Amino acid sequence: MEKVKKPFDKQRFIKEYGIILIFVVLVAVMTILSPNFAQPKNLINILKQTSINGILSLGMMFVIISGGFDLSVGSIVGVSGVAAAYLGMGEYPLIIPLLACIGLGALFGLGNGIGISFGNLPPFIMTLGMMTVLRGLALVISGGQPVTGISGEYVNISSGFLFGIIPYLAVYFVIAIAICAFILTKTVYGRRIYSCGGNMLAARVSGINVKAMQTSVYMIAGIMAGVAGFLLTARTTVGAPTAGEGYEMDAITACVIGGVSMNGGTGKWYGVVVGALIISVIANGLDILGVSSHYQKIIKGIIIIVAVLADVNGKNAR
Amino acid sequence: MKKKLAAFLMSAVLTVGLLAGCNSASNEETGNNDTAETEAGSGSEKLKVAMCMSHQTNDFQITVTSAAIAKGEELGIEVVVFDGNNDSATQISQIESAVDQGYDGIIFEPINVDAVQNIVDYATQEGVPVINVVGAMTDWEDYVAGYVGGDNVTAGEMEMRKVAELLDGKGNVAILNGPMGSDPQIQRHEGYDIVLAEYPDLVVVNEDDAEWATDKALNIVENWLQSGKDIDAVVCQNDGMAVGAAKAIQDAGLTDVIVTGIDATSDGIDAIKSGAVTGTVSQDAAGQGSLSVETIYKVIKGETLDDKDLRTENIWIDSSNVNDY
Amino acid sequence: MSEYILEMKNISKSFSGVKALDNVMLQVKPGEVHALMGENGAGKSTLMKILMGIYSSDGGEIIMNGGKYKANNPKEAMSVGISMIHQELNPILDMPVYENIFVGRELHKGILVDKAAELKEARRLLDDLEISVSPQMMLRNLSVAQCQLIEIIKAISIKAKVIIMDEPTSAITDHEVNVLFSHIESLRKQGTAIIYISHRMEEIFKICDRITVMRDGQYVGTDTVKNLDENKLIKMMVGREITDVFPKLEAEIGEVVLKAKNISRGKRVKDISFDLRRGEILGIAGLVGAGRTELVEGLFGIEKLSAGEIYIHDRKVSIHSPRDAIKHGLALVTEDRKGSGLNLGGTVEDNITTIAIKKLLKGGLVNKSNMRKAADEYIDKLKIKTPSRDQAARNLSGGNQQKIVISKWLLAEPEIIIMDEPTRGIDVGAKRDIYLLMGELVKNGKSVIVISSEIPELMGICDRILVMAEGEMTGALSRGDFSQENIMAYASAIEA
Repeated sequence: MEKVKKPFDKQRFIKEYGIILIFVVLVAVMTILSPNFAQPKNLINILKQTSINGILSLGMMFVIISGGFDLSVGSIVGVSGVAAAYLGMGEYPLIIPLLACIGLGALFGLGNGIGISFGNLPPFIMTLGMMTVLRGLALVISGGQPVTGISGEYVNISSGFLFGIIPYLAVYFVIAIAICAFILTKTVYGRRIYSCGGNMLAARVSGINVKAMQTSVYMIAGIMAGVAGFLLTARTTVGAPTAGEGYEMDAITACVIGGVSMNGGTGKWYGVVVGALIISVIANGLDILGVSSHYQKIIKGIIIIVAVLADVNGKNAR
Repeated sequence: MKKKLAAFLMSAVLTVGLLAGCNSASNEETGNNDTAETEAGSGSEKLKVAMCMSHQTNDFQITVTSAAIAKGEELGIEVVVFDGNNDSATQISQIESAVDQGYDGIIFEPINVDAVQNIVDYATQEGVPVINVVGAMTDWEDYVAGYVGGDNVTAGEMEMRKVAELLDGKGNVAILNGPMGSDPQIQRHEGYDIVLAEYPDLVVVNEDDAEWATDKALNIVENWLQSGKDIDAVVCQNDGMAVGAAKAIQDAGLTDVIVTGIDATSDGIDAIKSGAVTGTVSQDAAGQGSLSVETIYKVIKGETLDDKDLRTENIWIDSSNVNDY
Repeated sequence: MSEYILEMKNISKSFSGVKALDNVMLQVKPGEVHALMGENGAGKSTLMKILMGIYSSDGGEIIMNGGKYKANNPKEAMSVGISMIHQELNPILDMPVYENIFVGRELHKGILVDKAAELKEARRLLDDLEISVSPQMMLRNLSVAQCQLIEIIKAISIKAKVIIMDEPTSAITDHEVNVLFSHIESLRKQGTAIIYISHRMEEIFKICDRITVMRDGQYVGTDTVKNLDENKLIKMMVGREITDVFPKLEAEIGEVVLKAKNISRGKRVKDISFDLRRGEILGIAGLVGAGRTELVEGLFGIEKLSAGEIYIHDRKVSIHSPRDAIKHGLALVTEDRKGSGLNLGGTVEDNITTIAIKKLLKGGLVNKSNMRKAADEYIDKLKIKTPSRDQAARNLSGGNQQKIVISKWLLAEPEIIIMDEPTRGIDVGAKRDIYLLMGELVKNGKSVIVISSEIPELMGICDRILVMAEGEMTGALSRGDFSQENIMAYASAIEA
C-alpha cells in the first residue's frame, strides 16, 4: 500500500515565494548602487510606473492561466486611449470615456474569445490578427496624429494623490489587484479558470462550459487593457495611436516572472504583481544609474529565460 | 483542413478590411478614387504621381502628404500616397508597381537609404522621373532628379542653439533620442554636437533612447528627476517625447525646466500653447510636401531645375509665435 | 414501470460515413454491475460517449429513469445522474486532490468556493476508500495508481444513479482493487447501477451480474455471468474460438545476452542483479510502486543509475542515454504509450518509421516509398486496424496504438526488447497478437523482458519471473515453479 509523507517541501516553498525574495534582493541591490533609489519620491514613482502595466498584466494573467495567450492587449490600449482622449476633453463627465474604454475592451476581447473558442483559431494567431487590426484602427480614427486637449480633470486622474501622498494610479492598481485576486482565489469562476488551464479536456468532461470560460477571460483581458488605455491617456495627456506598443510583451513577462506557467493551470496573483514591480524597478534603477534603456531589454530577456527554466525544471525534478 | 481554411479566410478578410481602412484614410481629404486613367504622360489627361512614404503614423508624415495632395490638386496632378510600413522591401515593391502601372512621376522618402539604388535605376530606365522627399538616398545626386527635404542636422542645431541661449550657455542638459541608429536620430544629434562643442559649459548629464514615444519619455524623465542630478533642460528629438518629458516635469512640481522638441506636430504645438513645452523646430512639413510636388511637376514637364537640393526652412516656434500655427 | 434504470435502444452513429455503431442496445437494471465487453474498436467507448453527452447519436433513443433522455454535454448527463470514470485519466496535475474531486461541481456559497467544506468532504472520501493521501497534495506528485483512485472517488462522490467505469483497475494493485470492489458493493446496495468496461476476465466474473457484448459496432448479446464462461465470452467478442489465451511458443534458450549487476537508483531501485538469456521471455512482477519501471528506465538510459553495471554479450557497456541503449540493441516499449510512446499528431507511418528512419534513406535523403513499405509491412504483420497508413495515431484504439509503438521498435531490429505493461487497456484479440509476437521474437533468437501487473499473463507467457517489492528483488521463479500465491507473496514482501 502506498504511504505518502508530506515533509516541509523546501523546494516548493522557494518556488512559490522565491519571486518575492528576488524582488527584495533586487530592491536592496538598487538601493546600494544608488541611494537616490530608495527616496520616498522615487518609490512613489515606481508605484505610478507599475500601475498601468500592472493592471494590464493582471488581465493577461487570467488568459494565460486558462491556457491561452493574448497579443492584442497593447493595441487595445492604443485604440481605447484614443477614444478616451476624444471623449475626455471636458464635454462629458469622465465616466463616459472610462465606460467607453471598458466597453471597447470587452468588445475586442469578445472578438478574440469567439475566434478562439468557437472558431477554433489558435490564440496566437487570433490575437495577432486582432493586434494588427486594432493598431490600424487606432491610426485611422486618430488620423495618424496624437489626440490632444484632454481636460485638466482627466489629467488629474493620474497625477493626483490620495491624502496627498498615495498616487491615484497606485490606488487603482490596488483595487484591480483586490478584485482579480478575489475572483481567482475565492470564486467558483476563478477555480474553473485554473481547471480549464490545467486540463481542458478534464474540465470539459466535468461539465464546465469551456467555451464560455475561454471567451470570458479574453474579455477580462480586454477590459483591463481598456482601463489601462484610459489611464495612459491621462498620464501622458495625449491619446496616441501608437501608445501601448510592446505592452503585451511586458505583461507576458510579468506573468512569466511571476510564476504563471505558459501551459496554463498555475500561477498566483501576487507573483504577477511582483513580476510587474520587478520590471519597473529594473527600468527605474537603470534610468537613475544612467544606463541605456537598451540594457533593460537585454536584462528583461535574460530574466524571462531564467524564470521559464526554473519553472520547467521545477516540474521535471520529481 | 476546415480549420486551416477558416483561419486563412479570416486573416484574408481582416487584411482586406485593414487595407481598405488605411486606403480610405489616406484618400479621405481629397476624396480620390482609384479609377483614374493609367496612360502615361499624355497632356490632356490628369497626371498621376506616386508618393511613397516610410510610414503614415504620425502628424509630421500626414502633414507632408496632405500638403502634397493639396498642391497636386492645384496643379492638376493626382497624388497617390503609399505607406511603406517602415519596411524596405514593401517600399521597393510599391515603387516598382508605380512604374509598371504607368505613373508619371514618383516622389519617395527612402526607408533604407542604401537599398533603393536598383529600383530607382529601373524607374529611370522606364522613363519615370523620381525625386526624394524628407530624406535622401545615398548618392542621390547620381540617381534622382532632386531632393526636397528638411535638414535634420540644422534642425537639431537650431534647437540646441536656442536652448543654449536660454540657459546663457551654462547648464545641465538631458537628451531624449529617437530610435538609435535611425537617420533622423543621427542627423539631429549631429546638429546637437555642433552646438555642444561651442558651449563647453553645457553638460549632457543624461541621455537615452525613448523611441519617439510619449509614454517612454515620461517614464525615463520621471526617473532621471530622481537621480539626484539637476536638469535645466530636456532636449527631445521630437515633439511626442517632449510632451512626455514636460508631463514628468510638471508632475514633479518643477517649473523652470526647459523642454524642447522638433517637428511642430499638433501635440507639440498644443503643449507650447499651454506652456508645458518651451519650443519646437518646424521643418515645414507642409512646405516639404508641396515643394516636392511642385518639383516633380517641373521635372515631368521637362524643365531644368536651378537647384536640385531644395531644403525647407527651419522655423523656431515658441510662445511668441505659436498662435500662427 | 420498467425494470431498467437505463435503456439504450437502436443506437446508431457514423463518423464521416463510417458506421461506428449499428442499432446497439444496452439495458441496465438498478443496483446491478453490468459489464460491457468487446474488442477494441467494437464501439464501447463511442456508446458511452453518447450516453455522456460528448457525442450525439444519429438514431435510436435513450430512456433514463423512466424518462426520455438526450444529453448535449457532460454536465447535462451528470445532472440526470450519469457519471463516468475515464480510461485515459483526466487529472489536472497542478491542482490539489480536493480541487480535482470537485471540478465542475465545486462546493460553494453563492459565487464563493467553500474550501473548508471541500476539504472536509475530500478527507472523508479518501478515508472511506482507505487512500492515504492528503487532500492538499498536488496530483503531479501522485502515482498513476493514486490518480486513478482519485478518479474513482470523483464518480462516487457525484452519487450518480449510473456510473460508467472504463478500465478502472488498469493501474491499481490487487489490494486496491478489492477496496474498489467493496465500494462497488455498497453502491450496488444503494441501488446505483454500474456499467463496467474492462478486459480483465477474472474481475468481470468476480463482480459483474450480467454482460453485454459488442463486436464491430454491433450488439451481439447479453447474458448473466452464471450462464457464461471465459471461452463462451471470448467467442462472442471475437466471433471465433480461442482455445488458449496465453499462447506459448517453443523457443530455444541460449547464452546470457544481458547481465545486470547491482543496479541501483537511489531509494527506488536497490541492488538488483539478474541475467537474461537468448530466446527467453523474462517477466518482472510486483505491485505498483515496486520499482520495476524505474529499473528498466535506468537500464535504458532514460534516468541515471546510482550504482551498477550492465554487460551485453559479456562486454561491459555504459548506457547514458536512450541513444546508447538503442545502439547496443535494446528497445523499450514504455508504460505510457500516449505520453512517451507515440507522436499522437503524426500518422501511423510517421510513428512506425521514427526510430529506424536511417535504414529507410536513399542516397542520404528521406525516401517516401521505403517508409511506406515499412509501414505497410508492420501494419500487416501486427494486424494493425487502421483505415490507412496516413491515419493520425490519436484516432486509433489503444490496442492498435500499442501495436504501432511496438512496430516502431521492431523496425530498428533490436536484440533485447523490454516491454512495460504492453497489454494494458487492450482487448483479448489484440493481447493475443502481442503474445504471439513475443513468442515469434524469441523464437528468432531475440530476448524479451516484460513487466506486467497481471500475474496470469506473466505465468502464461514467461520462462522465468523475477519479483520486485519496494525496490528490491524478492524472488525469482522458473516456469515449473510458477504459482500465483508465491508471486503475490514475494510481491507483497511477505515470507512465502
